[in-house]
Amino acid sequence: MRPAELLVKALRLVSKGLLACSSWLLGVPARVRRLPRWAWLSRSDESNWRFAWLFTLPYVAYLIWAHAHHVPWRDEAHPWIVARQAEGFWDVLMGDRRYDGHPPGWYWALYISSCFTSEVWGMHATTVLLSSVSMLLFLRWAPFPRPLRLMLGAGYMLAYEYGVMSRNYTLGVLGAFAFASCLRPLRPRTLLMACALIMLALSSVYGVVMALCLLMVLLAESTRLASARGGTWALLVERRAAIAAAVVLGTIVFSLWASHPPDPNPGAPGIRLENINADGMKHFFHRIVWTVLPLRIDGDASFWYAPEQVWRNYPQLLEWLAVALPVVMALCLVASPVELVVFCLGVVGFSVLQLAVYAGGVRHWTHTYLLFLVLCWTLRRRKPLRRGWLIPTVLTVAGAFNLQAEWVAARTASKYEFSGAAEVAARLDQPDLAQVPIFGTSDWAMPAIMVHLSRDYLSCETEEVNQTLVFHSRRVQCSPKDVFRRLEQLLERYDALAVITAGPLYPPRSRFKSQLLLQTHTPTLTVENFYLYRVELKPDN
Amino acid sequence: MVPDVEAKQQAGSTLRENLHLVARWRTLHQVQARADRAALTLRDDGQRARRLYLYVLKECGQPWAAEDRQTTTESLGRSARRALQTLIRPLKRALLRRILLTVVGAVVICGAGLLVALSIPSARAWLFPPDLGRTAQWRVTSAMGGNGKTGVGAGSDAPIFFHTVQENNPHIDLDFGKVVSVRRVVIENRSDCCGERALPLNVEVMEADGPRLLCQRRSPFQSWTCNTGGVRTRTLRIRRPGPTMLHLRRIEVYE
Repeated sequence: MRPAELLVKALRLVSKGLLACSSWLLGVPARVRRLPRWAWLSRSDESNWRFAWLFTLPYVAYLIWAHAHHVPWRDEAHPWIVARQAEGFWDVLMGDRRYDGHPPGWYWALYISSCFTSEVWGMHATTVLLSSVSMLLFLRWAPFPRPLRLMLGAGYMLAYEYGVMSRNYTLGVLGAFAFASCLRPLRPRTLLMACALIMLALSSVYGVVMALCLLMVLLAESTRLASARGGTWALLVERRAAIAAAVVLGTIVFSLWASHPPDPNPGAPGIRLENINADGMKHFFHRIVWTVLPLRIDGDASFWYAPEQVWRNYPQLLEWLAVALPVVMALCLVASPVELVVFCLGVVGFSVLQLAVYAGGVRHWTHTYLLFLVLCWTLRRRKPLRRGWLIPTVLTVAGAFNLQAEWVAARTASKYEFSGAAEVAARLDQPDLAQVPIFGTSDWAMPAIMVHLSRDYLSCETEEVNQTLVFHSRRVQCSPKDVFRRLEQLLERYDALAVITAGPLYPPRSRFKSQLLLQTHTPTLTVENFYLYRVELKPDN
Repeated sequence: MVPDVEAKQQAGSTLRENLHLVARWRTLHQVQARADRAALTLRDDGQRARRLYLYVLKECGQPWAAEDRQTTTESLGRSARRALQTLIRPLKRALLRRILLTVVGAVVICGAGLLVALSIPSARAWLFPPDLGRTAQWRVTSAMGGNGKTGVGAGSDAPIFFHTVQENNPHIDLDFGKVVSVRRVVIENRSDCCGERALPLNVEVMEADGPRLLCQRRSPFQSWTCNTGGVRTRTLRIRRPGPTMLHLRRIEVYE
């Protein structure tokens, strides 16, 4: 035997051995065999909707309970006010939304809801509906064992962050899950998948990145290499997939255009590439740990805005996990190179968004986890014969952490008000204040209160009369001196004003007569702890 | 023939037959294994997909008899897709024909109705209300350069039709000469530059106790429509609150 042949043989043996060693973790071909009796408990594929409905209904009941105990904060309230004030889909697109840095999908969904009611429960109903449909699709089509599906569905990220919080990301979750549900190799539903990706791309800028990633999966599924005569290769793309890709790419361009504000503002400050550095990347990977493995302290009201509340006590472990966790997540997807590449590209996209555009919060950072979950789903759907144990193992660990955080979130949400806004709005609705004009000292705080009312407020920072704020750069921050000057101007036209502040107000006693009507009890979101005053000019003025 | 030779030949033919059967059995077994694997994939799609799978198998005949013995999931998928397309093609054609007929019918009926309506003046005014801004008298708080302070007809083909100086709360008043019911105000911003100066922009109606705000525009616009909901007034005010200059290209007012 020649040495070259020997070498090839040896290499073959080595590769076979490596594959055999890794197949247990990375996936082995499934064999047709008789299922054991307890298989119903751990089955990964449903043949009907019974299981999905059985557990979606309690989930809907939980969502209704949680929304009943949840007072929306300003970022939830603002899109609802913009949508209910809009005069149509075009007005949503070209109106005040343009400064928000979000595509119009969520606003359109809310606009449709606001055609039925302008009350704030319309927003809650929209979120409950979208989140329930997401869960139904997840429980029906996700190819994970039943207990794992329940664990992930009831976890903090899906149930609380994207289920109870009424934000545009809920629409993104629905789009991602709808895409994965439609992805079936033998029954390709390319146009439906394109619709799901359009929904995803219209939800948020993070949704745009995810849509781009999942479009690659769609194209990989609909593209094949064919050998032609003469040793050449041709790339064949299905016609429908090509159309879908064109439409989705068009939507992505549209979403990016629609998210770009007319001027840089605090919500969309522009792109700062110099922030992408080693330190920034370290923070980015820490955030992955905080969101994939969330842990919360029971009874701590800061559970929502302090995701690091447990991990900061274990800095060494966090450093180690920040490296290990992304590597393990990538290893889960090794069985399909397409998913692996897409995951890596997605992580790069998210890191650029977080470091160069907007640091964001848990709701943004969780998109890495969401992308990973969806890619595990598509991988197991596209490669049904490569079902390893690594994906269920990693997802079980993440699911257990999520369950703990969700338990704490639900308990804490039932104990504390999320925002003090509802209390202030209820006081403003009482007869003695119903006709008194409202004056807001800080515009950022006002949408949370005004969403419960059908009145406008007078702004200190601009000349605008609105129920919410527009995030343009024409706004001028109001110093205490400016507040009193503006109050004096307004009190020449009005007898009294209901003044809302995020801190105590001390107007000069020589000129103003002020009375503290209400101070809210410290809510979960401490910055939305409001003071309500009735202010009048002194008669001698 | 010698009995031994005959027996040997018989045994040989039986062996050949048996070998053929064994080969066929092996092929069958392999195909079955492949089909089972495909069925495993198909299991998710439920009963309907399984029926389709069986239908495709039946339509394709016995796959092991064909020249191409590849019964991979991809070829099954393509066959299933082709079978589905064949089934739904006539349905699609019928649906398309109906849609086409409905659209053509609707266009013909609407066109005839529109022609009839246009021949009646009151219906014409209802369908295409006249622009009250064309005949309204306007007055601005101040005028810069060669721009007028008053005039008739709130619009121009030039980038602006009025231009105030820098002042507090610049505004333009439109006087219609009689009380009219204003439903819609369309404002065109200055087209060559400085459109952001007109933000925020108020549409107000003059009442006994002062101006009342109807709409406010807070985001950039080239053309903005304010739906007032049918307010009865003789005078309309377009005001930019705060210290700035105000300049617009056109104001259209519709009943």
